[in-house]
Amino acid sequence: MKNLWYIAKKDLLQILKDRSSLFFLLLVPLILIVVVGFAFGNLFGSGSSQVTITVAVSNQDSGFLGKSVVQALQVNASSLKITINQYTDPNKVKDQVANNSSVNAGVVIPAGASDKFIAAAQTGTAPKDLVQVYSLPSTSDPRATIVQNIVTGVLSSQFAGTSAVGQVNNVCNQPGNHCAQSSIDAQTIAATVGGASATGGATAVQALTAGKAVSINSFDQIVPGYAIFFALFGVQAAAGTILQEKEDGTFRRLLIAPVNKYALLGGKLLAQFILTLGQLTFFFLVGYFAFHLDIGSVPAVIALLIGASFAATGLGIVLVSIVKTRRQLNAIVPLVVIISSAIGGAWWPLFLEPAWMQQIAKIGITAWAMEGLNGVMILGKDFGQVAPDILGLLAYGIICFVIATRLFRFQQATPA
Amino acid sequence: MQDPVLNFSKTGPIHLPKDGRPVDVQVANLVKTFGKNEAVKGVSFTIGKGEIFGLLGPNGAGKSTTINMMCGYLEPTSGDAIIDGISVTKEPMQVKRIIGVVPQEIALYKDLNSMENLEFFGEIYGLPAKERKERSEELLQFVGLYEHRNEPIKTFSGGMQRRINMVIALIHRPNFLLMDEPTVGVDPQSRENIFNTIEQLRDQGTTILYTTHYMEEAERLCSHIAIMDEGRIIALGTLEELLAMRDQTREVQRPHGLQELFIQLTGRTLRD
Repeated sequence: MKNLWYIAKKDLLQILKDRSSLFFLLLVPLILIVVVGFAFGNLFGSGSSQVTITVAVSNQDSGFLGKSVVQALQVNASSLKITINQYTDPNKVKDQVANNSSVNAGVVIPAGASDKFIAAAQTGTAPKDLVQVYSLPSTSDPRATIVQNIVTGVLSSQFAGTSAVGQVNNVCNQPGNHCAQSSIDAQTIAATVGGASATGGATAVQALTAGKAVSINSFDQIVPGYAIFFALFGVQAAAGTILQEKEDGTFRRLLIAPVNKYALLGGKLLAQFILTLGQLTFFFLVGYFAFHLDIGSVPAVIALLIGASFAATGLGIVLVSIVKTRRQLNAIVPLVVIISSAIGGAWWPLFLEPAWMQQIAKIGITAWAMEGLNGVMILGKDFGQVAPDILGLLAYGIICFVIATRLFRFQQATPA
Repeated sequence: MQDPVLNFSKTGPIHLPKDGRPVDVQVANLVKTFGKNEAVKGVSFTIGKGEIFGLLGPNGAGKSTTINMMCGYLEPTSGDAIIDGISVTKEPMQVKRIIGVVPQEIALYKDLNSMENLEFFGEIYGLPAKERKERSEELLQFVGLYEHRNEPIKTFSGGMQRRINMVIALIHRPNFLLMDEPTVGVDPQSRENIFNTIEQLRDQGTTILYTTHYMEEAERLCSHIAIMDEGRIIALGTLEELLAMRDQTREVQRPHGLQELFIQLTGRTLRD
């Protein structure tokens, strides 16, 4: 057992002395994490679940309709904030939507819209094209849809209120009915019915929450994703030392020494495991202190990192058993790591992928690790809920070790 | 006392020499087969205590395979090697503890310095920390590299690396040293340093098996020499005995005598 540790210690010392390896294993990933984390901050939402919308508005109408629409768009709640930029020229609204990327939608309320609206309501016909809502062509931006829904809601409630006034007048004008003229306050009736129409449905539905809100700090995804990605690349450096020792003759020198061959291999694997776990721990500590990672269940994250390091070590020894030279290893590792990272959720949350892709991704380490880490850090799962992922990683490593014991060759063909 | 049997036939038997030397190493009918290729075809010889024994042969003769079996790296297909009374096939770990191997290639950790290389192998051979450090410093002074002890091996010249490559095999004070072409590619100064080191080791009682392609090295260092070709020993004896057996019709004198005999025995055909 002592020899196993001596070999691991020597391997770690070698890697620590190789500044280019350290640069690639620690500094390059850190730079990428920072750059990508900030670059995609808006995509994932920077830790806030509030939706912010900017609307360009031109209200030409002097009546109630224009005021109602503008008033309805003035929202500043915890989940939604709408900023209104008002313009007198309707063409400015179109121009802002078309050319200003920070403006999500535009609303134009033409002059006389209220009068046309009342006239249509009194005849019982739905008003057409009274208010224009602008968005970019073929846009899938949900913020434009939110604006359109608000405007539609205002028009619907106002239409209900105005129709109610007309209906009251119709009833009063029926033969035999008499309503004192001063008793019919059209504006109060319209406002009461419209308001009831607008809020009645909403109050009838109770909004409740369950579980933890899915709010993604971009670093909650980027740090674990890139940490796993580069830890797998670290396999190239660590596993490469076995091939390098074979090429340099030091592996044979150690086999000639009084060292059990499995202690020799175990020492090298221990070094790889420590290196991978150290690398992952470093990224998570930097992420926690510098980027306020939401770690969630600490024991679960530690178990996932240990599992990922174990599986990566297993993958390393399988690759070393298959290939014969470092050149071959350097060709195959990027292929394996990039594919498994792409489909395994290293670069975006795994749960955003289609179910079939998530299943295919399970052939790689990344998917097991990221499913667990996303679960703990984004979805708020506890240790028990990510236990299948932890066990999956450990099983992955064990399967790799079993395969490697069949394929690994200690002796090389020697010259006669 | 019977003289060593020298047999120039490539298929004939080789008998163990019986010249009265206190035997330290006995190699008996070592055979190694790789698939259908029989790399070593029954090699036998003995090495006396404190003797430098030369094993010569062209490329592919079976020298390295023989050494690999003697040091426990390869398991013999048949036969055995007894080193200081211990069988390499029965107790390979015991044998590994008492032998040192200087490999043909420079097998060092080049990012580490010479002290770290020596101390690592000291750990592997089970030396206590204090002894490990003292022995490492002693060996570095032995080969004139103590002043460079903290410099990475990768900054050393070829000759300096060869000297470190050699002394690593001495870290645990082995009884028997196998040296596989230890002077390949070194300058005359480093070669002289290596020769002096080997001679000092011999004088201290270390038994040495030395392989080389340089005949003058064998002539200078070795008291007994075996010439191998195609997996067999085709000549075995002291330098004088071998020289006496070369074609006497040709007027070739030392130091070129062994070279002449070698070519005479192994032919002029180029080997891979």
